[in-house]
Amino acid sequence: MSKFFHLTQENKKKKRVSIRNGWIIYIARRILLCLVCMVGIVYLIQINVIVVRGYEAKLLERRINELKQSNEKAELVLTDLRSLDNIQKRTEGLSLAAYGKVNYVEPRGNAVAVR
Amino acid sequence: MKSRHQYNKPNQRPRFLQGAIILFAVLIVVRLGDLQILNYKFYAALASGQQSIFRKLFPLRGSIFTREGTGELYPLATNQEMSLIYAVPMEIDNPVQTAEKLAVVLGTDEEELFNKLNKKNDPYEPLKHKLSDAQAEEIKALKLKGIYFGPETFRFYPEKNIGGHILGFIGFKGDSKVGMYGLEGYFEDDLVGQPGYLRTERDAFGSVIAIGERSITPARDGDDLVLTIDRVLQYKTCTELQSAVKQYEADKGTIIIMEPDTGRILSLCNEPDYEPAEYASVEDISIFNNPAIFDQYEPGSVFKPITMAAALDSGKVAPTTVYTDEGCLKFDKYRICNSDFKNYGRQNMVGVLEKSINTGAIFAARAAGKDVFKDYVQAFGFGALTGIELDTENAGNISSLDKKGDIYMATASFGQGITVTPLQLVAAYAAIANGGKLVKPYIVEEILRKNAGTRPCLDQTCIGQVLPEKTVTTPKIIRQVISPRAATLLSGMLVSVIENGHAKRAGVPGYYLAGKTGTAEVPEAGGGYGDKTIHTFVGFGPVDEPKFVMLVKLDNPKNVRFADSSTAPVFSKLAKFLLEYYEIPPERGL
Repeated sequence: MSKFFHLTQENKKKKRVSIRNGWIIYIARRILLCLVCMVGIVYLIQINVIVVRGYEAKLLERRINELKQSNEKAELVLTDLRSLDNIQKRTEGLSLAAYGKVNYVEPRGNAVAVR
Repeated sequence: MKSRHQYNKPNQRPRFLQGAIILFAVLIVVRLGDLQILNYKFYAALASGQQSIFRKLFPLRGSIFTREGTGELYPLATNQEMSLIYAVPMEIDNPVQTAEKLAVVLGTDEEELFNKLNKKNDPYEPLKHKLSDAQAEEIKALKLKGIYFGPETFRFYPEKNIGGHILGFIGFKGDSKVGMYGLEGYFEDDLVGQPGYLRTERDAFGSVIAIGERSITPARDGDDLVLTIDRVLQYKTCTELQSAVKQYEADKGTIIIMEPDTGRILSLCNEPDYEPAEYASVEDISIFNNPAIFDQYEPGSVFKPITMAAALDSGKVAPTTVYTDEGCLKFDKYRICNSDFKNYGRQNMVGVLEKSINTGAIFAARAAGKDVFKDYVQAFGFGALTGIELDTENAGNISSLDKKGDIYMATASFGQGITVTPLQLVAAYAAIANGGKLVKPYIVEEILRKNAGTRPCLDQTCIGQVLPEKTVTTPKIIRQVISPRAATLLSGMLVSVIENGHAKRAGVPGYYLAGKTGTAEVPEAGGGYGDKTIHTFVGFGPVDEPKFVMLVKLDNPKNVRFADSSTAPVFSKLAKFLLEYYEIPPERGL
């Protein structure tokens, strides 16, 4: 009888440990699952943010190229206006007079004074 | 009620279903094997075309600049992006209406447009190149189906035809754009750059994925050139030349201005010239050759100073050496006379140049000796290329000096029977102006490189090293041709030519300028000389410290007889401009 009683007591103990371990494993699994879901969500959010930023960067790149092209066009217009042929044509209507004799002034000595 | 036997009989349906599923699975595996293993390359390429972009990156062609007085760069040749309008006729529903609307904006024939747009199986039809922004906007506002725009890069030359021969143009070799003639041709490899490549992933909409895999080899834009040309001088020279060719009814003309100490070309003009952007409209393609370096001609009396240099430097004559002119000299069956058939009697060497006496030149050549004379002619750079960085240079021809008869040396002594190019003459006179040193003419001051530091040098001068960011051309002295003493003596004699001789019209009051005229006969195809002449004036100044050496050449002027009436006045005008432009005060009272 004592053998069976001992066995019964052993079984009761095992059952108590088993029930306690089962709860721990159950909770651990739930926590792990939550963590995996959270990491997955965070990953998706990050990827999404990067992709959106990528598209924004592409739009900005496009804008930069447009501005560069616009700047280049303006420079070409300026270059054309600065061409001597253009300047010659524009000065024709200004009634400029040709210079006459050119006098060269030679400074005498190094000292100068205000009058 | 079923018998035991009926209850124990096995059911075949699950087994049949099992077999079908297994067969189906095997078929799928076989098909996957076929797609992914046997036809891997085909589908990988197909997917790659959908999922990735492989694009060639085209480099920008290098620009050609001059440097302004402020140090700023001004482009003489640069790139301009314009639009190409093209149609996809397959997509056009109403070609009649589309052609009608487009014809108004483009200014082209409506029927011609309709014929292009009406090709139902045609996926691409270019309609017009070089569309302006205003035209492009106007057409976009019409929202026409099947009409698209694409960017195209063209070469832009802001100064138009001032310096067409220096720049050259961009032509076509097959389907490729290639630089031809001038600097565009000579520096094609440097200007064109190197293409790059881009490989990247794209999404379902065809856009690049920013975080995707990317492999890029950037394009290397072409190198830029900075010239020695002074833009203001170039413009002034070309307009004066155009005016002179018109005034004297010449067939063509050339003016070259160079710094005698360094060989820097300050301006180089030819007339007729051409506009590089409109090269296709040129009828006679011989115009593309640069006469300043390509035309070989008998220079006439402008060669007499070279003869005199040989005789002076070899110590055989002095400026005061006297000889007796008899008007003509006999060589076997030939007679050589002075150009005006005059007999000048006793003359010294200064008088020979002042009065441009042919027999005096022969005297000086004979005094030097045939071999010595030939050596000096070669030493002055005649018969050889100058090495200037422009396409289609000729070397001239002095082979008559190798022939046995004295007649050849005699005619060469006054510039007939040999051929030279205008640039060779300028370089030779520069040697007289700068104390006897023959300098190498050059037109490219700097080469500015993109992505320098990564490109290996292939030239002997720097092999094994990488190319620097900027290469500056240093003046090169080829050889000492005559002594500084001989150069000074000869310069003084050439001053006398302008002060007292035939070239008075080349002078500028207040300054000592040196120079010589030449009115050369032009040989005819069948032998002998005809009525045509080539007028040349070559000079430099101020003679004490020369800042410029200039050649003016007019081919076959009709309404003047001698060079002192045509090229000498042009030299004077430009010399006056140069002296004021460089703010050089007069050397003497006016």
